[in-house]
Amino acid sequence: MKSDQVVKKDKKLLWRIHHWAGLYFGIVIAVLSITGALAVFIPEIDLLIQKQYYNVSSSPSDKLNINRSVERVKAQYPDMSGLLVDLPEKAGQVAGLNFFVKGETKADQKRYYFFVDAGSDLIVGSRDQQNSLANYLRQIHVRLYEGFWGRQLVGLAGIALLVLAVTGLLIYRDFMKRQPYPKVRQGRGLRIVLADWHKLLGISALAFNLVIAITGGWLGLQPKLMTWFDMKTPNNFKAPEVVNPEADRKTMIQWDEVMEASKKQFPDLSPTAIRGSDDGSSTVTLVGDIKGQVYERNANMLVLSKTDLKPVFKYDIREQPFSHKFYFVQEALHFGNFGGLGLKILYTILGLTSGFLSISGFIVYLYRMDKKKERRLSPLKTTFLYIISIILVLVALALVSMFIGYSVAASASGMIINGSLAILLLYGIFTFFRKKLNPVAI
Amino acid sequence: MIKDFKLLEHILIPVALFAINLSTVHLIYLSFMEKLFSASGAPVAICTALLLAGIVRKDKFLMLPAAILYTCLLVLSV
Repeated sequence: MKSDQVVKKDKKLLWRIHHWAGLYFGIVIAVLSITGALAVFIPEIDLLIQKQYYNVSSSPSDKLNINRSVERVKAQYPDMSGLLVDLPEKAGQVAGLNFFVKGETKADQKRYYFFVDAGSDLIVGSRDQQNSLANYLRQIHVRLYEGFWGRQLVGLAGIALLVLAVTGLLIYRDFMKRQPYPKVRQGRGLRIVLADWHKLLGISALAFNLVIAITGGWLGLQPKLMTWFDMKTPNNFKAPEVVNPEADRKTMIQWDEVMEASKKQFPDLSPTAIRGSDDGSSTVTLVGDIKGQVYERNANMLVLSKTDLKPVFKYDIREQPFSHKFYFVQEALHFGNFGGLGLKILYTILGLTSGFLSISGFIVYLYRMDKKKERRLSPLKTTFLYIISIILVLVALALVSMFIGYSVAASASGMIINGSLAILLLYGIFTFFRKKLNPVAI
Repeated sequence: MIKDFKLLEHILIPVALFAINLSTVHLIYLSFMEKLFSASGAPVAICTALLLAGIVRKDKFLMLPAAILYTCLLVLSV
């Protein structure tokens, strides 16, 4: 049996881990909490914006009348590639034609997105998909709008949240010795009030935060982990080449007949997008969801032959092994898109708790540090300034992304992230040498 | 008395809160699928209600069986 002193030492170590993980990753967790609360509503926000601009009451949801529009776009952009048709979910919504035109280099490649009234077969508008609000919300949450370090930081923040949740649970008992749940001690200052709320909300949303942390950590680090461990993406079907790619690209697709064929071949599938091949496989690929299944969007797939609309390949997630199901459940559990608007609202409320925990933890830390060293600004004012600065940066990045361009916003975000990491590293090195050279002064 | 307090406040309430997090999400999902009043939905609803009552009333005889029952339901539904 462990002695009291060893138990005390263990608890102190847990508290220190909780403290340092929160201090270093709290700011990223807070940003991800706020952006995540908005990110769960990306489809709804995007639809709301589209409805504002495009009134397509004639557009039905079960028919897909877009042949003329697709041919018109093909005539205008003869070098187009990778045509993806985003299907309207309900009547009154627009369909989307998403494709790119190759340039001499990859940087010259240009993406296009046209909105089509699938009832009257008319192109009603276009947008730069990369500069849309929906893309901003996704990219800022998934990779902090930065190409390399952003996504790794998001993944590491997921792991930090997991560490914080587990250590928080293990030290909960020591901080609630004689305090009943959910009592908040009043009249003993803001530090105690916030510390109590920190404990109460932390334990109340523990299971939710654990799920978000595990799935978020995996989703963030997924590309690197899959490369390191040589893991293959489930459902990486590639149809063989059967015709000349040029002939394949020119083959006209009867989109409405494709929809009819999918209903026969895969009745439970609610298709969300269709892609016509241009690689010589002469296929049409439908991706979509099955109602009631807790898997990421577009996890199911049906590949039909372009010529006779017979099935070439079918991927029904219900019939797949556990490993595939486990892979595709992560994103659904992370974004909560399997229970309608009600679940998304609950996800937003619970998701914001991790942001509150970061902020309250930081204020409590500043109050504790205030005892050692007097500061010019109070802990509350310091935290307020941090929060306002972060919100201003997020809003500025959104505005730059939407009105100037994605690449400019990504460069700005890259500078902020890389600059912050460099400052943190230099500060760490400076403190280390200062401690070594003059230990008494610290 | 102190042992009872520790059992309730440091073990049973965290366990019940953990379970109610999951059961609330589960309940909303079942309600979205219009299965709330079915054989699979009703037990989840009952468990959630018992967990909530157990936490509010701080009743270990409500919290513990509800948490165990809900864990069984969750395992069976997966």
